[in-house]
Amino acid sequence: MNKRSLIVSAIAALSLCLWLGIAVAQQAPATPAADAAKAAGAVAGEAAKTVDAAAADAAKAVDGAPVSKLAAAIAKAPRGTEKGMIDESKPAGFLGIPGAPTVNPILAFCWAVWVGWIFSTVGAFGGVMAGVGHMSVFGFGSYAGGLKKAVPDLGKIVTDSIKASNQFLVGTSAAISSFNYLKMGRLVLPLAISLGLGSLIGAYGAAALSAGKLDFKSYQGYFGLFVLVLGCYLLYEMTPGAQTKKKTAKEAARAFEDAVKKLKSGESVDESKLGLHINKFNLSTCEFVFYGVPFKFNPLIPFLGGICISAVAAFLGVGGGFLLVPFLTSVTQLPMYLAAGTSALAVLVSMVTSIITLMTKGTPIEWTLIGTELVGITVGSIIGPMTSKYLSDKLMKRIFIALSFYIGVGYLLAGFVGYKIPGV
Amino acid sequence: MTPFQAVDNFLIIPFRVFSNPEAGFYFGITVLAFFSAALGWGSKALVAYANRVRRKQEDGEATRRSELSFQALQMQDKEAYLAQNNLAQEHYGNSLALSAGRGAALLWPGIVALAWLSIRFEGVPAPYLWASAGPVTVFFPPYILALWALSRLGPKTPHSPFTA
Repeated sequence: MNKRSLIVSAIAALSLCLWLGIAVAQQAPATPAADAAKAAGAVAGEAAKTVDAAAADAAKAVDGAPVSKLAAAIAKAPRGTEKGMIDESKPAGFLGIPGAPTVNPILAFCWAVWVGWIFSTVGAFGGVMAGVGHMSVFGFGSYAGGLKKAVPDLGKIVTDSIKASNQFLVGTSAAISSFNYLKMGRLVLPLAISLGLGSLIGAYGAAALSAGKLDFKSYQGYFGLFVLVLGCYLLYEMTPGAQTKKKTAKEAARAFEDAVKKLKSGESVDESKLGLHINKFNLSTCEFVFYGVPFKFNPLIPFLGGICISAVAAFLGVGGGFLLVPFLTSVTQLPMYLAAGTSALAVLVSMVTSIITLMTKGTPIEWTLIGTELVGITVGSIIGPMTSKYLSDKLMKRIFIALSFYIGVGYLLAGFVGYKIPGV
Repeated sequence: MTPFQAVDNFLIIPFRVFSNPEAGFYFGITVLAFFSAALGWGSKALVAYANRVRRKQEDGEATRRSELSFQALQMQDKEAYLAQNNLAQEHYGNSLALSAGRGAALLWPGIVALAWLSIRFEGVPAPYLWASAGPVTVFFPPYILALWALSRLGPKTPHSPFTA
């Protein structure tokens, strides 16, 4: 079996896992399989008017019929009009929970346009903004936080759903990039195996251990810490020290380019040395030659790196590519040409594993909201390149550094200290 | 008529083609899956077209840096190799973020279809399958197949709207 077929098989297996994961996660009550009459009724009849299925299921929970984790948590929750209680007189909101915030589709769409705009102009910060949307703008965060004392289980389910929703939005880039790089053959199979396996274990471990156990306040605190670290890194990149370092690297690169130009006239490339040749791959050593230069790394290092990075990414509900690429280029010294594809595949593995794990652990997904947001991101990505020429890169970077500090500090304080600053 | 009812009236049409409800159920879901995949590829092509200049710029610079790093390797100049590799990283990051828009464009119709199926067929088990299998379970295989089949069509130039 060649490399391409192996990777195609791996992606097919991942798709199958995703499908089975969702199938299991549906957890429909046990009814006769050939319930064609029900299907016929649904086809012929009117569509459901509301999405308050969870509330309906909760009634079943009281009767002792098999129900989802969400419905069981709703059934257990105290009834009343106070904060943190289930108010049955109110319409079903997020995830079909009575009294939960209902997101105006126009607001969800507009926020997603903003996220898509950032993705297509500034870069990966769009993922952070997707999280901010779910937690602060749509009000799911304060709702989940309010459930902490009275209905902790429900609060944790809502938190997991927020996390899975974030991953859906940021995972799209890994999906499309993996496919792209696969077609170009830009993957180092031994590295993809060790990194992918590590990512799978890390993402599964983090998602399985935190599913249903992480309350919103803690999640908000850790997410804030992550955004703050990101902001510090962006700020560091703007400092004179980092700029000088970058300038030196650029000068070295330019000097090399000039040297190449001088040498280039009439010189031909040795075709036999082109591309990647793997010479040795076992549990402790991977040796390969790339463009005639030998490289060597211990496969356990990317494996362990994959576990740690994917565990952090799955725990926070973020991508992880921004950590994997520097890790790969610094630890294995792999060329970017190959690191890009390998890391995109590892991010995809981590995302799919994390989402499947959360769903199989009973985390519900609000498909309507995710669909609306994806439409918004699509529109934002079309608008982004049209408008970016009117904005300075430096100014945009400064704005996003300020935003990361504000959001990071705000979430940290709200999550760990209980102090709320306006807007977050 | 609400917007949901309008969409619902349109999406339910293939489910009513056959008088047999089971056949209608499977046929309708298959048509919906292929329609979603086709719409996804169409909107991805639109985003790719809108992003083509920036994408060419980011990918072009990443590729140029990569090529220079290969040359540095050939000349056994590891320092230059690492410098070029490091500079390619930033462009790769931007290129990855740019692909989020194309990913969202490709997948939104599928997710919207899933949302509609979940509402319309709430609690309806898929005929002939296991007890917990619902319409979403039936939707995935033809949807993934359609996405793959459609990816085989169209020109394969690096920045063509039809390439990923």
